[in-house]
Amino acid sequence: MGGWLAAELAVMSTGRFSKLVLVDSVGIKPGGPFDRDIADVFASSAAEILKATWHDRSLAHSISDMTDAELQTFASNRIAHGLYTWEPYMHNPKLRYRLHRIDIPTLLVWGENDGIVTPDYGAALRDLIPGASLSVIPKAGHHPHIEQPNEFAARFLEFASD
Amino acid sequence: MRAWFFTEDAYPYLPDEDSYESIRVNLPNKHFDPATGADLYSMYLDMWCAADEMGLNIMNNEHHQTATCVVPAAPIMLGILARETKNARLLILGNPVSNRSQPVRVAEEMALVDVLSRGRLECGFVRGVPYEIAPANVYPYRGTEKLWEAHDLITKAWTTHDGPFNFEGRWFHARQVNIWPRPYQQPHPPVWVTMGSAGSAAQVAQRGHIGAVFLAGYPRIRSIFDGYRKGYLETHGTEMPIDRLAYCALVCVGNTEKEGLEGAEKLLWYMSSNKVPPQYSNPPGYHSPEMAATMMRGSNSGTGLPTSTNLAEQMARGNVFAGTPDQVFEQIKSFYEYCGGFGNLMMMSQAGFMTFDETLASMKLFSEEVYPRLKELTASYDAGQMQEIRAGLPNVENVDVSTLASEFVR
Repeated sequence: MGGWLAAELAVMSTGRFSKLVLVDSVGIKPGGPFDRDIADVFASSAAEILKATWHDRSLAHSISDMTDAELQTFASNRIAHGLYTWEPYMHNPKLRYRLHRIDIPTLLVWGENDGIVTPDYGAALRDLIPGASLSVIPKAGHHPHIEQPNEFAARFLEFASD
Repeated sequence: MRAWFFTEDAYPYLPDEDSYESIRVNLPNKHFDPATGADLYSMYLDMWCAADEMGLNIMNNEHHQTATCVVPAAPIMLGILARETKNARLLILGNPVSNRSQPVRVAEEMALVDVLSRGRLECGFVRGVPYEIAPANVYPYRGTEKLWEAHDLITKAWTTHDGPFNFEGRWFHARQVNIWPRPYQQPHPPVWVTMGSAGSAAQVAQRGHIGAVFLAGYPRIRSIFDGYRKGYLETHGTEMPIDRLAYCALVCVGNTEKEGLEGAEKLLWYMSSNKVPPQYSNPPGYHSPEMAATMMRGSNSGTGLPTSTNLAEQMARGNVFAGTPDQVFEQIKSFYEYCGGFGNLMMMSQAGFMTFDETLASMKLFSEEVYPRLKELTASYDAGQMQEIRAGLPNVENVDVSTLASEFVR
């Protein structure tokens, strides 16, 4: 959701931003009404979500490792997540028509194995932002910065220092 | 005591349970054969009509995208029964108003059924079970608030007779509300609301509606009914009339104990068939964070949350009343005295593969041998005397919260 939020800020004004980096972002609906563009995480089993989110599933937090307090915080966060994203599901229908306003250099970084939003989704997002480029990181899912931190940092720094 | 005949209208002809993930939400409807379904609907309608002829009242409900209950629009069945039955009170328990976007439509449907039946409607409102969230696609957070707001709008629509009003609530908005027809019963049909805790019971009691509890059994019934009685007394300044409380259990009456228990085993299909994965039983926003976390812990252990379908256990818990007429009466009486009395018994009397003849035989025995005694029981109800009886009965041990979650089957 962080990338979505950043995009929403950027379409309002880029006055306080110099560059924009979006990582495996949701927020738009590239397909038609019958296309499931974003995995339906609220109707997926824990195993399906694990598979869609991670290339290396051993990196995922396990519920069995959480304390009761941590698990309740997780459950509370899940309630907030649902509140923000339930309908329209994980996107703002108006956002795609506003992305053309972004007038700063934009990099989209994507995990090659992301099953929540695939690299095709990233390409659709790239095509809506003027001059944006898409950089796909192998052996990474929805969180390439966690799964491939060195590769991610290298691409980020190259873009930032350019 | 008023007794209510209830079946969920299941479609039980399913493939091997291991071949599907869930009986709810995502079970492909290729498994529903329309011709078989038509026969089933006909049988269920005949059962309800037979219940009417036996002097029983009728209860129906709705669920969505599930083989456990193939009536996704209870008002349609109720419309048929309004015409086909003569005497029975017609209870819908209920309209899932937290999940419905148009409360005014619900007010219209219910008014229509009330007029068609010449004032026999009893109108229930429910929040709905968690597996209804995906089919309804309504975010369940604050569902109880939505229920009460819909209730306020619907009762206002029923009782406003001098032209339109507007409604601008937190959850629902409606303009120029002025329903035709208006209800037959004045000021409006009796209202029922389901409740599952002392807190939710108090909210029903404050409004003076009938509070209905499903399968809470000995472990939870006292706290819920006590919550109602306390809330009623505080709000209305008098003891609650006994007709304000309702309890739903599985009921089977046989000529012999063996016959009654064998029928009850068939009723347990209702519990044993309820295969639902965590993503549908624990959607975000439905349960409190504490309950949601507990359920996640359970599912993560890989053990799932099986509902016990052991008949002896379910009878001991007060979820099933079964045996000979004498035994069934004694079981209900014990539960009645334990919880301090209730005036409505909702009986799931058919489920799964239980046949038309089996169901009617059981209900005939109930209406002839058990029902008259239950009516005597409530006719002699005295609040003070009841509390004395109750005080002599110790509390049955509470069960843990994860077990409660798993038994959330209505």
